[in-house]
Amino acid sequence: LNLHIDTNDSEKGTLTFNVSGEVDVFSSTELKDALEHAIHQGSTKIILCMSGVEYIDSTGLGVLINAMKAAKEKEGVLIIVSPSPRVVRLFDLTGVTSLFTICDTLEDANQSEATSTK
Amino acid sequence: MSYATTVLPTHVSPSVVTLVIPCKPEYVAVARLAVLGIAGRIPWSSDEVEDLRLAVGEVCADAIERASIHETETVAGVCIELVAVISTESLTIDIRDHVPPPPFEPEKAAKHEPLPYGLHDRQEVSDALITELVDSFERSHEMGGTVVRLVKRLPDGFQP
Repeated sequence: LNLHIDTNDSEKGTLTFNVSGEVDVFSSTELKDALEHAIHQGSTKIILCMSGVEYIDSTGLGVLINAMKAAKEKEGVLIIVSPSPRVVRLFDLTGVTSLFTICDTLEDANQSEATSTK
Repeated sequence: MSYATTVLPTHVSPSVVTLVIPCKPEYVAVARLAVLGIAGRIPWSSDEVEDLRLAVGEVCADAIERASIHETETVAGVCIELVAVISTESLTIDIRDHVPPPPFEPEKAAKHEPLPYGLHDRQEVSDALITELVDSFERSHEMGGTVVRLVKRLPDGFQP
């Protein structure tokens, strides 16, 4: 029922998070801290694999938006990979889909540019 | 305090489920789990059930966020009460908290950062979201707290 976050430092400046479980008012602080730490440590390309996210609420959405904004301020990018149906649903209902860079596969995300173009 | 007498509609022969949780983030999952059990009795799609869980989670999160503005002593022991009633036409979930209105301390209220990109704050996003997730969404303030009513119509022909 809880949030699980695994990280993989795949290449210089790129940090991949595999996020699964529930991102809610309780657990979102853990994701927020992890993302803020990555950005603070100089990761300019943050990849969030979200196929295993079973639940996400507006608190979790706020974490994603703020992390994306923080990454852009550092001339970096936050890429969401394979969002689960619940993530897609939340993005659609709140109209934020176009704000994010979303890739179908991790390979696509790895090949995309590290610098934000939005 | 009698939780069982709280905001029960009187016009139905009800199937009623009540749940009381502490107004703390770690208990919101319990409320969502209860909704899963209640809504699981109704022939809704899994997406519809998940939408209802999200709506309830949003309401609970709002109460917890309001509670976080207060000093710990002020909200110690505060609970969130959920009363779910399955009638012949709808599932109604009343969610009541006893979180006092925010104190007039602008510096504390302002500690919650607004979201970028025109999303003014989490509650605004949350309210818009809940409106999309259920058939009816009402919020009222009474007795030093907030009551939210969520209504989702039952499928045609369903007998509770």
